[in-house]
Amino acid sequence: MMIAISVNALCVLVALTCAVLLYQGWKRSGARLLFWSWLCFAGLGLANLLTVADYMTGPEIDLYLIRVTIRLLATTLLVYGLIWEVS
Amino acid sequence: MAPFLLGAGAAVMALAGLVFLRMWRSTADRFFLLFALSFFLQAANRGMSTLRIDKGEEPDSYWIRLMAYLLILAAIVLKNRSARAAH
Amino acid sequence: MSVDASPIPTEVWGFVQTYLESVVELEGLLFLHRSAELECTAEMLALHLYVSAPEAEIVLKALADRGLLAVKQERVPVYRYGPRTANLAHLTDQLSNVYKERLIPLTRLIHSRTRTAAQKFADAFRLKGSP
Repeated sequence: MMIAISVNALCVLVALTCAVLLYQGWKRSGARLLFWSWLCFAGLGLANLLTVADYMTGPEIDLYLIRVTIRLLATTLLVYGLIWEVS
Repeated sequence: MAPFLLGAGAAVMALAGLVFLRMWRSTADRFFLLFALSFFLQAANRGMSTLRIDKGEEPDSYWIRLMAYLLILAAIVLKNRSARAAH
Repeated sequence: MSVDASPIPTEVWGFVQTYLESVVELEGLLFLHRSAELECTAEMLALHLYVSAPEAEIVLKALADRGLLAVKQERVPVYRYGPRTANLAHLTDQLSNVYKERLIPLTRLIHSRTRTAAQKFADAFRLKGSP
């Protein structure tokens, strides 16, 4: 279980790093793709964070559906940006 | 509910992977290849979860996720190595 | 203005590749270079370059981040030509000469380098700040 928590914690860091870099890139260049991208990675970071929380809380609290939904929404935003903003 | 969300998630991740693949072809920047692989891995991960009816807590699940995020990390590292070389 | 077919000097080429992402940035830089001590806001630059104020702001901030302009924070950010090193000053002078004589090859060079959305995505992951 410690491994699972560490792995997901690493994923949180990577995802949030991407979100921050893309956010700064969006502010710098104004490219719409980066707007949707930073939102996606922020969402993925959040989903991974909730996964860590899920491991740490007991069975009464199950964040599974929320995590899956957030991940789906986040990726949908990315795909929306990728398809419409990339010529 | 969950299998549907996971299936949709897998499809959307795979779609993102495909677009990154296309970006790799048009920019010849391996950065995008790594992102594409990462998202394909995440799609496969979600697909496998659908078949397993687990909560993403099986070991395969987090190792695959780890590899997917390490690919993103590798993409970032490689991009900055070549950026330094260019200047 | 003569249309000179000879190639752009290598150092100017390199300078443009590394420090300028668009024709608007080129013209913004040269405008401030020409005007030496002028303290310029985004609004002022927008008027001179016929672009929107937000776009001018982005251009000015980018040029400042790359060490070509000096910025003062007043009510709004105010920019002035202020290259961080003597080499950058020299290159900008060279660029200004090239611009007067070889405008077309120069803009063609920049246009061929217009960053696509995909490239901007990848650029965002550069930690060093230059394009």
